[in-house]
Amino acid sequence: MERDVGQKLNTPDIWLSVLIAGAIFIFFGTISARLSRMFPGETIFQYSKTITGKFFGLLLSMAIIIFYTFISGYEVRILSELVHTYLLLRTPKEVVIIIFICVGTYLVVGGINLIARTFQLYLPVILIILLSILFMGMIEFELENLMPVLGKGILPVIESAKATSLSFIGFGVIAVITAFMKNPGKAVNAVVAGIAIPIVVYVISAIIIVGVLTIDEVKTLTWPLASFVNAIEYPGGFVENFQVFFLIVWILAIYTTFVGTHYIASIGLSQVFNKDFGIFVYALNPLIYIIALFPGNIMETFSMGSRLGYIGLAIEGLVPVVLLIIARIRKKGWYKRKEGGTG
Amino acid sequence: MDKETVWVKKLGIKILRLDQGKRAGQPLRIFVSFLRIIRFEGKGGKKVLDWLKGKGKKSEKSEKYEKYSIEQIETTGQDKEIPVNGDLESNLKAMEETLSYSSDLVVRMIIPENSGYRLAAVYISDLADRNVIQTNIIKPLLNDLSLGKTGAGNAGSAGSRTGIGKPVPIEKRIKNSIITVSDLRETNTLNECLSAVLAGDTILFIDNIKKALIIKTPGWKTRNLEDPAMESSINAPRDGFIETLGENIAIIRRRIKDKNLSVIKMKLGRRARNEIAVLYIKGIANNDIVKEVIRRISQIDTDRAIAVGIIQQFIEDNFLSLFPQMQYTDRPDRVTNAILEGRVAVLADNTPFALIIPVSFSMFMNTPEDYYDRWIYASTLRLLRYLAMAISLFLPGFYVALISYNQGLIPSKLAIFIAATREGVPIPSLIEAILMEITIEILREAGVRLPRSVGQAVGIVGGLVIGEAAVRAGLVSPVYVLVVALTGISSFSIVQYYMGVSFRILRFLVIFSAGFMGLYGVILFFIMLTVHLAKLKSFGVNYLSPLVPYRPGDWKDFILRLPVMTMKKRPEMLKTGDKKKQGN
Repeated sequence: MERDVGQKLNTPDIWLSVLIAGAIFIFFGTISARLSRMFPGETIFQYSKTITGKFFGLLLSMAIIIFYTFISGYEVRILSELVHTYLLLRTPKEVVIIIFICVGTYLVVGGINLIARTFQLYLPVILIILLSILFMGMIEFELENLMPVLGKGILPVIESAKATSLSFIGFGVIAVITAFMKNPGKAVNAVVAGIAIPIVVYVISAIIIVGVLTIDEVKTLTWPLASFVNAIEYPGGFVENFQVFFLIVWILAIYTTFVGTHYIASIGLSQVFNKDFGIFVYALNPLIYIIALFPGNIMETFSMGSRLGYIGLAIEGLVPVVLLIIARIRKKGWYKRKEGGTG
Repeated sequence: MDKETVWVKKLGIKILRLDQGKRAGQPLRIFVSFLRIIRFEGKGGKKVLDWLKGKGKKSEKSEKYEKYSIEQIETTGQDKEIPVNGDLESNLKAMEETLSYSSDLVVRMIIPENSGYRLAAVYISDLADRNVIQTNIIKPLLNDLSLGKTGAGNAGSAGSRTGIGKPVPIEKRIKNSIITVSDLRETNTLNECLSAVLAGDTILFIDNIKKALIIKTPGWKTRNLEDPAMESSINAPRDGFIETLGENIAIIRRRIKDKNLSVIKMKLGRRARNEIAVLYIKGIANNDIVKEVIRRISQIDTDRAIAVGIIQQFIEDNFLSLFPQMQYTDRPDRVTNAILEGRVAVLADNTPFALIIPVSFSMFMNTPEDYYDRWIYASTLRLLRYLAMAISLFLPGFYVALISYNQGLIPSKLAIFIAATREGVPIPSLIEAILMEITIEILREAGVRLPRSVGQAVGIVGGLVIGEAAVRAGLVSPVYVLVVALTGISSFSIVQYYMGVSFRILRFLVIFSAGFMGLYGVILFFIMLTVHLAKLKSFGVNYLSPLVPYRPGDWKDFILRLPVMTMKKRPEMLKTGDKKKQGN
């Protein structure tokens, strides 16, 4: 992410872009949650039909499903690149991908409750390790590297905010999981908290990484965060690199994203076709595998990622807004009930 | 007839129906009933359908068990009831016949002089206490009932002593004023007599009376309370469970003097008829869990003697999982704590162990001592135990992954050092690791089965000699010997034996995944493990609770054990009735 924005922005104000993007995404997320709250117990795949009619609903659902399938394929590909660079230099990517998909499937078929429990388990692990690594790298931090703030004015900062969208992809989960929440009334709060945590982490990491590595270096690196971790060194310390921990965190993070998107695509298919959920989980796997092997090299993968990020902005951000407006106009969901009195 | 008509109409064979001759009707009827069976209609058809679905027996069974409430469960699975006969001889004959004239069945006729009464005491010679029978049953019976000995012997005239003329029935009199054994009851059925005799009681039959007296006279040898063998401790109580159920329940009752402590007894095993007790505190333990435990236990249908370990295998949630889903312990204090927390304990006769249900992963990392120690000591030791757990699970796999795939991740000085020690070692690190681990496991298994003194010798020979020789010969690198030793020691610090076993097996899986995929494999293994643990449930309680789902209230007694004053509530995860433990 830092690389993407850095290339666009060319000033050390990455953290500002992240902050702005975060605010926008909180707004979109809240809209999404509000929309879901109007249709208790229904996912976006179900209420989009009610709002826009059968045909457009189906079209929309399929678009969402295809998007998430692509995202999970992309995640797997990123993982395989990562593993290829840092862990298994000679193992073919196909093996890495297939094993990862299998491990992901094991969790996806367990259903939403299991996924939720497992993510609850990983969240503190990821946060604690990531933050402690970041703060450990602080010793070479120089505030000068972050200067000047807004050196080129605010406009480029805002413009480059959209480059961060891929990092926030996944909040579309809201449109699905609100249906399974015990207490959908709290959905909005949950969304704010859920997006605020990554924003804080991203902002901290943007500040620290640019502060340590300088913006010129960040632009040229393939994996700025990994290089940053690699550079951490304590004089006289026995442990020279913290990459092990960092890789654990990274793989865990990719795993959670992959499982989340895979789950949305599968549940979407099962709700569109009204069939058992498990079949689609397995049926999607070959597709994800093909998508993962689609980009020829790492640069193509990254460009695919940024394109997916823009599409995601439309699908996760704009679609709920449009749906909400249509729902208000056509008086569906809660509004319908309010008019009908008791009915 | 109606249904047949319908069928015939459907088939369009009215012609046959028209001539209605009996001879013509017969084959038609057979044909129609055959059709019905094929279409799964009518009585026969339903049976076939049930049989095909395989539900016939099951549904019947579950109905049978649903009938029982918690109180009634004791009578589960008994045969048809046979009443006690008025005739003494026929009773005795029935008893002897059912027990196939076993030579250890003793029938002692008691015929007090001139009284006109004929009684018989029945017991099994080595199960019942002969002394008690002699001095507390036979002697008073002969003394009190015989005429002309103490003056009160006349049939049915005991009332004269108290001044009330009304004669007291003989069985009441025997029960109330003659036999000096504390525990006795009346019964109407021979079935009850039989099971009582087999449990070491004495049955007293009286001629012309349609009742029998069951007198508790168990007299077999029991072991003394000894130090628990499975988990020893430094400052916890020293008494462990023994093989007698009654004694074990008494041990727990001595610790919990609550009137709500309920003990539900059942007899299990089609032939062994072993007694099982389910213990919990009414009002604290979650009712659903208690019911579920009893339901699952009462569905066990087997010939074997039901030991606690067998019950465990019958009632666990996931028999494919590597992790124990119930706690298997021989420490009464552990059981007591669990019951007070709102869990359910299952004890069985002839097993010096108890099951604690439900459990979570964190319980396996605790010791009862944690609660006796001051909280700082307890917390530190617990942290140490979690660390040891991580080492024993991941260290060898980590070593293999780093050595064979990801040397770059080892600190460079250490990498050079390890490379130097591995120089000339002909075996790849994966094989090296597996060979050494297997050796250690064999040593450990050998040490467990041997007598204690020999076992230590095995440890010395195996650990020191083999390790030293292997290194000297240059077959394995000394660093790996160190890793194995560290792993072995760490795995000993896992408190619960069965958790230790599952970790030993998992360690091999870690080594394999490290050997094939390096650090990536280890991380994926970690993911699989955590997903499995998150999936696992023990009687509806998440195995990983209180970690996930988040229950911050329970974290006071999780990886750290905070001061006792702070632990005011029972574990949230158990959804207990009475939530407060202490204080305000």
